Amino acid sequence: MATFRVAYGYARNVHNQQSFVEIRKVGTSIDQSTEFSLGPDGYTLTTEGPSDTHMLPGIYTKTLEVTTIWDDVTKLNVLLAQIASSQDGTYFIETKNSLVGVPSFVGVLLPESMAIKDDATNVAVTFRATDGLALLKNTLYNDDGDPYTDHQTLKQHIENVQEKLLTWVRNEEYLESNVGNRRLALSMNATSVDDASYTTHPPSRTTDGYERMRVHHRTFHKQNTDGVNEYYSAYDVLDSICKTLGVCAGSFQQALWLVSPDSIAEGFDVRTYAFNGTESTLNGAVLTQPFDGTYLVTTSYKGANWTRSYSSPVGKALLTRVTQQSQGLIYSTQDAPGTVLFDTDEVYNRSENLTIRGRVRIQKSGDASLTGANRLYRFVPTFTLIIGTDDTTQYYLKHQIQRDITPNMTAVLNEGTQQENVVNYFNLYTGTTANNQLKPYSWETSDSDYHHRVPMDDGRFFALHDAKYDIDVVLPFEFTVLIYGTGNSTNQYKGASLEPQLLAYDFEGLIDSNYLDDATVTFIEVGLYRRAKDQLQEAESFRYRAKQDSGRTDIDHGQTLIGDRGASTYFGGIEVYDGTDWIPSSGWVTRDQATARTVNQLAVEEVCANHKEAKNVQRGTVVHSTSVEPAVFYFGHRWQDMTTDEYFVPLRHVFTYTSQLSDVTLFKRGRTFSGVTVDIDKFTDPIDTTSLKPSGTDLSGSELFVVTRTEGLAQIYHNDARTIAEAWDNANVIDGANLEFYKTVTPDAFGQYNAYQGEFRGVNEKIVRRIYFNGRSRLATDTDSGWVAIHTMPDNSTLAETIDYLQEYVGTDTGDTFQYTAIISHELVSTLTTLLDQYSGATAAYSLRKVRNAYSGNCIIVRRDGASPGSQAIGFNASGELDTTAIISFCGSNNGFVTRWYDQSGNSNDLVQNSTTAQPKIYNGSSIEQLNSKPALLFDGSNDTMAVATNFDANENVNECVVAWVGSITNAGSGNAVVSHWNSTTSNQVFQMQKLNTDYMRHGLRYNNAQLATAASSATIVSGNQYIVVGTNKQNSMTLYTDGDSTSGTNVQNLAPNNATTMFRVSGRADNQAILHNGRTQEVVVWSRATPADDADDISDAINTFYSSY
Amino acid sequence: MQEWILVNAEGLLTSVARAQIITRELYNITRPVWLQEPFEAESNLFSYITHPDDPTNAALIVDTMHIIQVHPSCTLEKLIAVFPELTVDERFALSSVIHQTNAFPFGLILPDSVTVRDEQYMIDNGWIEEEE
Repeated sequence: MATFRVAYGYARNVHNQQSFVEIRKVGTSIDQSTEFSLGPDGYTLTTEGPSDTHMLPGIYTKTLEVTTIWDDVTKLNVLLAQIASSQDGTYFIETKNSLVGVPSFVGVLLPESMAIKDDATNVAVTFRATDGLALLKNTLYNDDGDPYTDHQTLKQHIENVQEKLLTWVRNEEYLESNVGNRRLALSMNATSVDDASYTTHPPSRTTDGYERMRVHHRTFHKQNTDGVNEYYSAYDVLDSICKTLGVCAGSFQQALWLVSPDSIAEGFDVRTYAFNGTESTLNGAVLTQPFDGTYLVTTSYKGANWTRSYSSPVGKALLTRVTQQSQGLIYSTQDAPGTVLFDTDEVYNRSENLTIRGRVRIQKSGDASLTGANRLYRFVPTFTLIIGTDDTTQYYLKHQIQRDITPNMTAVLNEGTQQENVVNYFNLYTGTTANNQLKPYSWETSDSDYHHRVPMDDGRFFALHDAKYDIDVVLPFEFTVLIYGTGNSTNQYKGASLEPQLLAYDFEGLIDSNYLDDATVTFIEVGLYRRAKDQLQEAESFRYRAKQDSGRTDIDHGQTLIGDRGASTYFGGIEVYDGTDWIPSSGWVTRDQATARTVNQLAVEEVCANHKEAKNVQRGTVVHSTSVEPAVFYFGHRWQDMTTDEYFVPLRHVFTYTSQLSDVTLFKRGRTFSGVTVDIDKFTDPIDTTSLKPSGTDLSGSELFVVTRTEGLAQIYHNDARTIAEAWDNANVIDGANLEFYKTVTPDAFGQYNAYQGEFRGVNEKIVRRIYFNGRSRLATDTDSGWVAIHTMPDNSTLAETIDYLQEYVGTDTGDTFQYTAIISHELVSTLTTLLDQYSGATAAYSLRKVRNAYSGNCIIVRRDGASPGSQAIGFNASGELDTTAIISFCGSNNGFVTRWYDQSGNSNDLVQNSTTAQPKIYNGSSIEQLNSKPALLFDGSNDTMAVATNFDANENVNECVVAWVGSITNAGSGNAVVSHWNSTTSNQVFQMQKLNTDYMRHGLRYNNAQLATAASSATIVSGNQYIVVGTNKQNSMTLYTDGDSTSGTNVQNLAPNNATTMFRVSGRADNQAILHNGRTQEVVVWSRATPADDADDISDAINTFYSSY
Repeated sequence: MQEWILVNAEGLLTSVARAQIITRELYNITRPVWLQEPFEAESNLFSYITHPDDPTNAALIVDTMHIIQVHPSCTLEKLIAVFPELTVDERFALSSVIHQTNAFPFGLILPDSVTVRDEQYMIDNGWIEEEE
């Protein structure tokens, strides 16, 4: 169905960006575009979740409010009149960056929400529109008026709901012209909400689960006993799916997204389904809205009214699974004979009474055979009841009892022999009468009028007659059976099935199915009920409750229609696909616990797990900066506080376009304070904080609290210590070291913070612990003055030994006036003898081995191509060589390219390549790229190159510059620059190492008098061979070592080498990427020394001890 | 083989800004922003150089044979927006090419107005110097 534009306007925000607001109408009329102006806010888009205080599964809705100002009042009045008389879904409002662009929001205009403000010169009309999710409450879930049929997967149900959105008309129109665009996005959470308790997740929490689970249509639809269809709303259907699977649903552009709320802050994987039916692979999806406390060009920042609060832990979560009224363990309506009804979950006990009850309607036209001895005598509803359907391996549970409800039947009907067999094997007796007979109903007939009568308990006769031969009779039935038998060892049986049938008997007691040929038989209702104390036990709604010992807040999810019990009845049962068949299941949740949980039980347990700690709730205004495209329309994005690096789930936000402000409510779960995990369970027993106070203090108990860490060290903290620990948690105590222990002593209390790093150290590593002391207390940052490094412990001292040393240092001077702060740092230090430890003063050092012991960072970042792209930092193995195992594991059968080559010199001059086509290769899908059996980066000579992002001066100390390169070159006859510190102007040219097109290696150096000195190798190099090339320059001297063979430079000046802050590149000339490198590079190191050391040949030899090139 | 495309300034966009947007949006065809991971925030397809005499002038270093994989949910608005000189038909053709294939060589979507330059042209016009 097509739509057309009715009117539009546009707004400019404070950053001079433009956004259009368009009113569209269903139809194919010619464009009636009328331009209006927008009010001062432009528009306001509100996104609201199920709760503004807790992170809950459910439906997020969006509403747009826009004030329009019209000059052409005549046209406006025509439009308003049309809108006012229109049906919902006729008019849309959408926003987009250009009139032909993709709508970022499509909403249904709500006629009842229009507000019109007349003015002397023009008219202002405020429109409101919704993405349609809330309006689903008014939409019955059916297939154009008819019930859906059979089972459908949850994905199909979701798509059914999506197509009922009033916005679907417009979204479908767009998708029909962009069939490759997504219509549905389903996320999965790769991480557990609580790793301690939930180690694996059920299929419901994976995108596969949406297609591996299916639910019968009667979950969302039923017939009353009059045969009238009754439907739940489409909103209830979607809401039930959300609550059952623990996900949130929301709209973004033309797609419906389902995202687990607890995964939003963690990041998640998503599978998208395009309108044309194609589906994407599972991709990592992290939609991040960064914000910060300070203004940055690249991010948004917090407004002045930012507030932070904590919500209390949740004590109880409740979810109610709605059952259909008056249902039994098995219950259905309007079924044809032979319909097998079953329940898979209920446990039946020996000696338990069960009642089968219901009504059957028989309609039959006159039949000439209803005369004489063969005339129709009796209709008999019969039922095949099987108890223990899930126990197929135990023979005694597989027997079935077949009863008809009339005790006065002929021998054939009594089936006495079979009954005995049943008794023998199943021992299921009938039972409410004294003589163990079925409850009697009798039939009275006569040849004259064929009047069928059924005596009821109250003495009335039920059933209608015939007027000649027509029959239209409703027969009630009810009988009770007793489960009575040897049973299995537990005397319990799980699951049952019930198949109603109708038999017709002639006057001689013979079954004659011909009587039913023209009959219409409908079991208006059939139910299997428990019976206790002579009362029927009708099923109630099931409530699932999870609780924990602490916490004071209750969360009531409300209701879900999808249930667990009776998984394959028509009452919310679930089936899962096991790879071969669809099988009924409700306890299919696989977890470490011995007892599998039903899906609804899981939902509430996970809510409790999510909320078992106090939560950080932040509210305020976010100001969006000019270069940020606010991700306000995205559903499922997380918000990242760039200051604390914390991620939040948005519970609600209101975005105003013109001012570029978002009023947000953000929620952070799972962690409290500064990464300290508070185990709330520890608070279940009141702590006598009084006894923990330092003597002589007057602290109130509230100022003390207990924290347990995963190491299990329970410690007492003063509240100040907690605050201080926050500030210190990420402090860079000393280059390469971590804060491990913090203690502060004040005159009135003390606090300490323990971030124990353990005693583990790798091969070629040692543990170094240092103690720092300050004579003041409560120091909040490492920038406070007065610190004294009092001691470096002997290598590999334990933390306990270090604390002992500190206590000994502090001594017994702990009087009331004494105060101090002390910290212990922990550092893993390599014991390898590396190149830069032998030859210091490097300004840049890139290598696929570790070349400086103190360097603790990674070696490279590898990008993986293929269907599941990703990026991972790769470090070194215990021997200080590139961790190739990690690369192989990460890349698998995909190629690996290097996006960053870390500078190990400590100057952070990393080589970077963001362009995917220009990144050198490290892994070819099956093996590591190598040269002389060592890892090497492969540069293709076409466009591969890496450069330092920010110009720097690699020869800052001027007097001697040494450049070392290890690699190979494979394209003979062409120029190849392997290392270049160069620019287009001579004053910014420092050095360039290259292979000439004559195949000689050459090192070139520019002096500040613009003269170029060069030193070339004495022989041409062999294509593909590994070489160690070291060039050195100083005043009046230049030498090139090619595999240790030295040659002197020409045009050497009696000047210091040039130095300049300029471009630095590996592969190609630095400024213009000409003469790119075709070959491999393993190492590039540049030294700049104020005092020449004349040791370039030694450097070459030292490098060769590792590479064995010559 | 290296090839270059000179990028002209258009409207409020400088040559460098356009080059950055183009190479970024080309990357987004394969990896739409909404599914990108943080490490892809600055990823792009081709690198570029600036003219030695006028650093505001940029040239993309391209490979016209490079195959660009198309993600089914990619959006082209930003890419098209930096080519205001395209006619409606050309825009439609560009969208069609990208949305109707799983992958295409970069050269296939170059508008008629774009000329791919070789090394000699770049040397002759002062972009790069002839090297030994």
